Amino acid sequence: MAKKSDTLVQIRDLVVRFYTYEGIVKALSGINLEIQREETLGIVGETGCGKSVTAFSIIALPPPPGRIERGEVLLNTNGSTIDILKLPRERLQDIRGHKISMILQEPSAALNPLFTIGDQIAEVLIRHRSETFIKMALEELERDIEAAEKSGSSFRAWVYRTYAGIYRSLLKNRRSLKARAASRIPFLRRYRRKLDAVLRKEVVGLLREMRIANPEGVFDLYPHELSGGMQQRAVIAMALACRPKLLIADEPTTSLDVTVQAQILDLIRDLKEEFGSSVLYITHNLGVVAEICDRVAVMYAGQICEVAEVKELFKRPLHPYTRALFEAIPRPGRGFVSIKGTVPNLVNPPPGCRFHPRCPRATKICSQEAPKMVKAGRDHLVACYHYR
Amino acid sequence: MELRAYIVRRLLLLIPVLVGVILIIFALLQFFSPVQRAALYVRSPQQFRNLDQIIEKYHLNEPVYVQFFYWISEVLKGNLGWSKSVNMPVSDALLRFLPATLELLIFTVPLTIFIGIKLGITSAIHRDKPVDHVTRGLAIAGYSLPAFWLGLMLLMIFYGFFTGLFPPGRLGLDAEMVVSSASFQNYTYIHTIDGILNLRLDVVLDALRHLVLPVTTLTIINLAFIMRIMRSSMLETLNKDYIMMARAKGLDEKTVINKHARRNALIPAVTVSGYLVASLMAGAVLTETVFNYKGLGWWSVNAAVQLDVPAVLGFVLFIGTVIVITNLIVDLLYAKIDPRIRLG
Repeated sequence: MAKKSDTLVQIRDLVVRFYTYEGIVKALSGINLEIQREETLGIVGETGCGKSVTAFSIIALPPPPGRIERGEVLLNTNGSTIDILKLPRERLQDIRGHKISMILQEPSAALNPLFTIGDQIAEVLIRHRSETFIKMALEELERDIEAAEKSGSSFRAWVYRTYAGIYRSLLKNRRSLKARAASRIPFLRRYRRKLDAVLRKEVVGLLREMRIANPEGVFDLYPHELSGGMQQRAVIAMALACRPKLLIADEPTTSLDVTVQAQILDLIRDLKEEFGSSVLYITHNLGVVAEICDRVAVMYAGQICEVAEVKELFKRPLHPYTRALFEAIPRPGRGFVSIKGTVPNLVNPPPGCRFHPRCPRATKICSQEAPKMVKAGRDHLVACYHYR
Repeated sequence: MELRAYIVRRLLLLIPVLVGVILIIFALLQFFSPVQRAALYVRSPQQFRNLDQIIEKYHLNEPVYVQFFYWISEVLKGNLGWSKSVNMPVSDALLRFLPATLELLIFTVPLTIFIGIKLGITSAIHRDKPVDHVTRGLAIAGYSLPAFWLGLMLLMIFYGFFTGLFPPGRLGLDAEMVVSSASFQNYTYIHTIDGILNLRLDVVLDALRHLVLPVTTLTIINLAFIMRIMRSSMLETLNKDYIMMARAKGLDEKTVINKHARRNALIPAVTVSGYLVASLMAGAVLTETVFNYKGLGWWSVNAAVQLDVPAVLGFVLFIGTVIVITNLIVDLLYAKIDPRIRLG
């Protein structure tokens, strides 16, 4: 449950289009959505309805050949509001992985097969929090210098001082020429070891928080040497390394088997509490939604058709599409129920309400004008003329 | 340790493969009559008079498997026969023409691979933009140009028009004198390297001057190969989830491309590079002919035209070995690039 009801991210009138050979795919047509602080918001919908595109667009990374045509993604942090989509590239990169981070569906694909788990997690830390770790490395070096001087080994003290000098230049400038040159010179490049050790300690701690057994060992493993569940934990560690304000989870448990799925869900829930992050949870599984989300947005064909609190939605689904979704959940002693018709082609989406060709309640107006979002109860929004 | 075991295993695999290559060559030999095959063992022109003795001596009338045994023991002793087209034993001819080919290779291969990979990546990053179209267009143009035409054009311009700027051949007369003089130590017969080892800068420069045109020709012709492979594998890699993830981590585009994408995209390019080395080793026949650059290609084609059977067979055996070793190196590079292959 959201404790404070202030908004963390506000998506306003987001339009994303894909320019393909078959035509312009209207992937998202005016999405409005709010994510509150410390809440878990679920987005449900069928494959291809634009759930993932919404998620990726929040960090201005629509999957190619997608293009963000219009809209705002407002991020409220430290009392100020910024529009992510209008940020210059560098500031945008400062936000990605730091304030907003991401977990993908397929952990084995989300990890680069050529680098160790530890490497890939440390990469995030050094990207966004290099200052902290360089300072830590410097502190340790100073201790080493003292120890070396005490034991009378002036050569060693001199070596450590040289290293410390490199770190100081790094503190001043992240792309310090001195440090970059030193990384290429034998022996001198050993200065990195201190920083690597500091990073390693931090990453191992993170891995332990992800409930990975033997985090020390896992640090040096390559992704293919881990099971799917372990890989997803590593990805989560990567996403949470900088304690982001918002974690976007794009179907993170779909490719895992059921027991591991439950563990990962628990993990995400606990870590969210611990870190005070918000979670945007994308899934097509209503069971998972009930399990983890505070609020849910239902998407259909590039539009949001209903937003409500989880309990409310499960008790009182209003939009015909939402009702059909609930109907389609398989139950024992009953045949499979499916929604009539097929998902519309988003190159030429149906006019008016996009669901009307498949809707049992459709009337003339549904095919003429798209329904607006209306308030249908406390925290319950629905885009339908006939929800009553 | 794992890596060493892998190398040992691969080296052991080399033996059956080489035996296979030898078997094929031997099978080819069986198409010739004993008299024709006797020529394989002739070491000097005088011996042609005693072909019957040779047939007797080398058991050329005996069953195939017996012959194979004798033949293989001769091959293992390094006796590949007499190359009548250049009037010397085949093994000597191989050693004589190899350095020229190696010299071409040393310059062409790194240049082609380096430029090809760079262009491929650039092209992939700017997919369907003008940069991409121009690079691809130029690469395909280079690929489609016949070597002899491109070579002759370059010669016309840089040897004819700018008189003698980049001459054909391997060395100028002056440098040739230096190289064949007693004070000049020929360590490798690769003139640029020998020149450096002998501290004769004039020889090095002269050799380089002769290398410019053939190396340019070969690079232009082979560039498209690597570039296109690199482009397509880079495009595939850029679509991978871990690239999206790297961007979502906040890494800048340079790191995403150079650290996360490039190494993953490299494997197909390495395969093609191996092929490039092997095919250049087998001889850039046309280029060598146009520039009068006498390497393995020139020798082997000359031998084939003059029905110099022992030379051709010796050449095929040599190239088989080269291709097998190149493949081994390519496989080792795979393992170096991709940790998943190390165990395989």
